[in-house]
Amino acid sequence: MSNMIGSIIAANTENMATIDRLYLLVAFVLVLPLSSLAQEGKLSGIVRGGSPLDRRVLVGASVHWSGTVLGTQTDVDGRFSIERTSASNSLVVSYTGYVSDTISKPEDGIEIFLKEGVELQGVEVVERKETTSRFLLDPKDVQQLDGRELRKAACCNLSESFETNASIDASFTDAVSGTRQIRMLGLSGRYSHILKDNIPEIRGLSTIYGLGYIPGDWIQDIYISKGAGSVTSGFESMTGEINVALKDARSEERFHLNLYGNQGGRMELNSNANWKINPTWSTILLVHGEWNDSRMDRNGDDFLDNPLVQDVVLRNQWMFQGKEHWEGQYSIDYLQQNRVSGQMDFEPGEGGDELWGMDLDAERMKFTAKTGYVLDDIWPSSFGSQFSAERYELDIQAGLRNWSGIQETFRGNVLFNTKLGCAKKDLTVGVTGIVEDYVQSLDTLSLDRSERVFGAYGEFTWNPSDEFSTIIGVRVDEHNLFNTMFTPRLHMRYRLLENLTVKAAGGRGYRTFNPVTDMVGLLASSREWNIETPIFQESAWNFGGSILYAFELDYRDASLSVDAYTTRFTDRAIVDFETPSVVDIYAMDGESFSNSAQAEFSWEMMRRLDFRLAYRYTDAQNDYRIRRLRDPFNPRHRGFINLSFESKKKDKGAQWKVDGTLQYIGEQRVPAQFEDDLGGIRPSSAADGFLQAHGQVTRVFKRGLEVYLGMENATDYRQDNPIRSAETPFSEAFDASQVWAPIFGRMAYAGLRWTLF
Amino acid sequence: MSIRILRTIVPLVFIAISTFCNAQKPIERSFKVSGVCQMCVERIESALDVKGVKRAEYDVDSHTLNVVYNEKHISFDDVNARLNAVGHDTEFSKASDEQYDRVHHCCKYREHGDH
Repeated sequence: MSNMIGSIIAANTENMATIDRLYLLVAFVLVLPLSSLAQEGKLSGIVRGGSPLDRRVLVGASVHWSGTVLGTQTDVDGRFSIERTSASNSLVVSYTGYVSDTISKPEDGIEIFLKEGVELQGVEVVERKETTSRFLLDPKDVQQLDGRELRKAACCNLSESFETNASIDASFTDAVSGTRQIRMLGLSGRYSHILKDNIPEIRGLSTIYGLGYIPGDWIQDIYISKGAGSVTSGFESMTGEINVALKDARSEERFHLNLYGNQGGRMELNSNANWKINPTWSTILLVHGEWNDSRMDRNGDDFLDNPLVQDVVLRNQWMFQGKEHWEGQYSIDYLQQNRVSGQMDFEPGEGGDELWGMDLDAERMKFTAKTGYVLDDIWPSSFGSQFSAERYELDIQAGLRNWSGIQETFRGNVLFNTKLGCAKKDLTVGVTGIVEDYVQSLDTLSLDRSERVFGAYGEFTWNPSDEFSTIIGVRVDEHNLFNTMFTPRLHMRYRLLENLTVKAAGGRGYRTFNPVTDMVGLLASSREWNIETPIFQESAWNFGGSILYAFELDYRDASLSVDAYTTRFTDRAIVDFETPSVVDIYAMDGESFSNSAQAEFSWEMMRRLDFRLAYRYTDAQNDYRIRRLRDPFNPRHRGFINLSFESKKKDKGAQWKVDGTLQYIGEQRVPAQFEDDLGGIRPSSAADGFLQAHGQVTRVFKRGLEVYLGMENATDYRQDNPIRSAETPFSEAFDASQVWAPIFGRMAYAGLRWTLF
Repeated sequence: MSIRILRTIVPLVFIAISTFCNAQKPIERSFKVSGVCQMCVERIESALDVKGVKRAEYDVDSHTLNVVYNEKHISFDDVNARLNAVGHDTEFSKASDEQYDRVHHCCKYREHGDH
């Protein structure tokens, strides 16, 4: 009995002890945060921006303890180290152009992501920075054009977005359809890799028209990277990469409306709206409509100066942000386009040889899914996947000729990114698969093909010091139609002096030639097509480098950059229109290359007045069957001056913005043409150089409400008779594809932007 | 002949440039200004977006303002007065309570202590 009692008591004391221990534990748990608060010592971590799928370190991000003035900035690797303090346990991290974040009780080694966007306690705090920036620390020669740069010109779609940029040229494909194409490093835009939110966007049949499918008003930023691209995005890039970042579901704009109209009768509506469904899901709907039904013929050639247009582009994107590890972006894009051009009285649907006309119909549907998983608990690393599926249908009737094509593309890319040893080494490995079917025909000629490409890649980034960094990439792809593709790429950066950085890059790229759509402007002619290479792979090496020098001139920031690149084709389908009335397409036998060099000086001349001056030299030559010739319609010299002024911001952000660009487009080579009277053939000649100017004035009434008024082609320079034999469009000599200067003269436009934040 | 012309013109050009530069020679100064956030940076820098100030760069971490100004158009006292007027204390003069009250609540540097 006593034993039992004793044991009970013992049990009680034991219980007591347990309870004591519990109290102690509770007390400890209660005290723990306090003790950790009072904990002295250092906290270190890293700050990144973007999304897990596209992570970059933020250099110079501000890090401070909330409510105190104890702060620091991140170094060139995005790392920071800060003394802990008893005054605060929440860390505030901010960076211009990103949404600030507050982390309570941060642990050592923390990795902080900042989302793009500008928002700080509901108050806009944009520091005035250049609208076009280059990155001293990125081994790649990247230029960023932000939304403000794009809004300096009307830029209705991506093809028109480069008016204030010297690195990219825009020109018309033909004198009829009003379609623009771009050129980078002296080569057609089809040799650059164009991505939308890091997913290849413009490929296959949309090489030319695809640029018009991205409304300018939807664009958040454009990143232009000259020279060899990154192997993680594919084997395609030859002259460079253009990545277009669209407004996303976490955009700071709750609602946005843009209306635009120009003298040519073109009217546009762009709008986007955001919804935050719950803390993890948000969505954005983007709408674009374009309409032109005014038949205009200012140059009196009986042809419409601008096409009649009916376009609808829609996009719905969903963003998922899991508590910690998951993040996803899913989107649906839809496009429907109808463009009618040609003779004034032409009506679509009317066949026959009465009136010449061009009727273009396009429809496209695209799904993309990007998912990222961050494994930071174990080791700083992440998985990412990108999938896209697309169906694109394009039908063109041009005079008596019919072209039709359907492209179905499925693309998948799975990648894994990890740090090796320390943050200074970074490795990305991945696999890519492309399944593509093309059903296309030019009249009775079938040009079908099916591509199956599977590949693997690895990209190693090494930042051993502030002075030097490098990216080494290799990928191998197995193609069902062509040989195994081996794609090596290398980027290096070396900081010679505090403000002087030298970059070098080299690499290889491949692409499948698209016999008609790559040179779709040639359909606007009576030329006969002789296609010897219906299924052909082009490949090229690109080497080059740049020097970037940042300095102060009269106490204000200035920079000087010089770059030079060479692109040499190892295989190329030569599109030869040197003989009037025919287009010969054959495999290159000999050489084809483009050398380009550019010097650009930019300076904040006065406060809020930026000045940019650029010059570019291009030497592009191809070996045709007849002989080696300069690339047609490719000016050797191009000069560029841009001035951009902003007035002081008044109450609520009211201000004026004025922007003007003057450019010189040098002499261009024009291939042989029929004489006007059909008496014979005029040999290859030179078109004179000319000056082109455009300007825009924007009045901001308050933050979120602005109107703009602009003038394109203010110098009113026009090509004399852009359409050869316009009076006899069904004759052999009819040709509207030989364009080297603007067709439409001086043109005014106006627009309105209204945004709710 | 042409050499003689050059001999007269070149020194003249140099004299012209040097007198022009001397007359316009701006003053560069760095001094402490209270501020806590990016909004303060914006406010401080735009307060000095006036004739005579070539450059105004504020580093919020070190609370240091670097200013380049031309004494012909603006005095150093004016620079300080302009900063006080938008609510910021400087090493040389303090904003009045009235002026300070107008700054945004997140910029209330006096409440943050440590100044």
